[in-house]
Amino acid sequence: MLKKGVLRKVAVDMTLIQAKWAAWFIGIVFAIYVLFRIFTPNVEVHSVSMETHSFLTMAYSPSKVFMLVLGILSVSSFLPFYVQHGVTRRDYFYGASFSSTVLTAGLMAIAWLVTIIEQVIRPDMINPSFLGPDASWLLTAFIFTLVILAYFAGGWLIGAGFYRYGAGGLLFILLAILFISFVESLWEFKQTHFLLLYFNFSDEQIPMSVSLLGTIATIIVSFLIVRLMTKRVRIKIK
Amino acid sequence: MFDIQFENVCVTFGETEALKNINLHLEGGKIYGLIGRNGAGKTTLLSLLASYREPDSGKITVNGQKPFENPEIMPEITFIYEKDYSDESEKVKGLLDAAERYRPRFDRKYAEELLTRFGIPLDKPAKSLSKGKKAALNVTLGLANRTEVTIFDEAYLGMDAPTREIFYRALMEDYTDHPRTFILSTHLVSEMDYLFEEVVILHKGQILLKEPVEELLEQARAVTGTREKVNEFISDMKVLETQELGGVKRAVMYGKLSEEKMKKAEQLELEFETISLQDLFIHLTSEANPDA
Repeated sequence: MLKKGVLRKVAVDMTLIQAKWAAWFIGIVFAIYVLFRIFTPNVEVHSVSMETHSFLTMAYSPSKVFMLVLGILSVSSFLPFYVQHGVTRRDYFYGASFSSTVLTAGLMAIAWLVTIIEQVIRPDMINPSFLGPDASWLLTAFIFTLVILAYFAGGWLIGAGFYRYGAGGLLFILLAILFISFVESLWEFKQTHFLLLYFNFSDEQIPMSVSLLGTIATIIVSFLIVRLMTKRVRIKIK
Repeated sequence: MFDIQFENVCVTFGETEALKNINLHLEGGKIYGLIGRNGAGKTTLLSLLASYREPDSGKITVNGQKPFENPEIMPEITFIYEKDYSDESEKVKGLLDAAERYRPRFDRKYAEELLTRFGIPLDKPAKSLSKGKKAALNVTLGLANRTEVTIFDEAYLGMDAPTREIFYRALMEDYTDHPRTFILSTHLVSEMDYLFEEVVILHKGQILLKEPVEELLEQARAVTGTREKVNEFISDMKVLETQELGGVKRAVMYGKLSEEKMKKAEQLELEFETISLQDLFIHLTSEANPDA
């Protein structure tokens, strides 16, 4: 009873605290996006002219970085705090897993909503999704969520690695780079020639299902490694 | 009341043995003084109890259960130490909110009363408080948590003497109203000894003794007289320290005195004086003491 109640509290609290940070983040990205659109519509961002960007395509990369940073900070900012208040490492882990998933979905939902409003204002918008002009909204949303969650998982690995092993955490930077590069490579083609690939698989191309499953598996493996590292981790007294 | 049991507990840091085969039973509902010199292993011992780490070997039980990662036990143990609040931008009020949310019996009203006594405003960020006020905030959280086991590990460092006095009084009052287990680790022995019911002395990672304070002090005394008489008297006693000036000798002893021994002291015209817990602690853990 007590255990469930505590886990719920941890999950809700972590979500709310990080949502506040995310609100600042998304607000700033939005402000930059608006300024860019107004003043420098021809500038290229991520090799795409500002003119053809939607808020969703614009927010995609910064969201990855934001989630990566959130992941890096998670263990050191939350775990000692919770253990100090008599909460188990297990409840922290599940709370953090829940809150990061909700947060990624939340970021996606905001970016998506703003883009829908944009489409109403500018029906001629060229590139609303990073998957291509005619990509499915549902798929875009799903992939946005999964990929930025993979970045969180990478950051979480790094943060947990440093907390547990000190300088040995450097190895976890390598592991995170490996995992994130793997996820990125699963989606690389589809971001430019998505439709083509979706309907016309060939041997050298990665099927959609493989990309999806590969990303989900990478996230799960990262989370499991974090759990193994933090399961019995010593809390620093400072 | 939660009983605490350490069985053959060892903790090693690289080559250093921080705790060596600790066997200790702490009965619930008492105030314990855990005293030891710097580096004796006090914080390591206490951090095991608070589930901050696991022992390398041995077993710890609290209320018959293993405390580590135990959702029944962890919320009932509060571990307060000199916490670094330099990165804590949260206001005092926010810290109370967190404790209230996660500690099953946190008493908000009492916490706010204590903060008023310590002169700590609720709306200030914790990091902006002075060192003494940070320590006072810490002990406030510790007391108001009202957990079965509350550990104060040198939590009073940084407080000035009047603030420490407020804390000692608050601790005694709250212990009377809500009896539970307190473990006070300190080297400020002289001003805290009246709080302790039992004392545990930890030295070089080992338990030197665990005794009720009264019994401990009954066994510790200094004897003064002429050198020959004192030597005769102490020949079969555990002597912690001796001093000589001219022909007069003073010896600090530890151990029970039989009636026969008391009679002998009278015959030899020796003078006894009691010694304080602080002095006893110093003698017992002194490098010069061969048993230390």
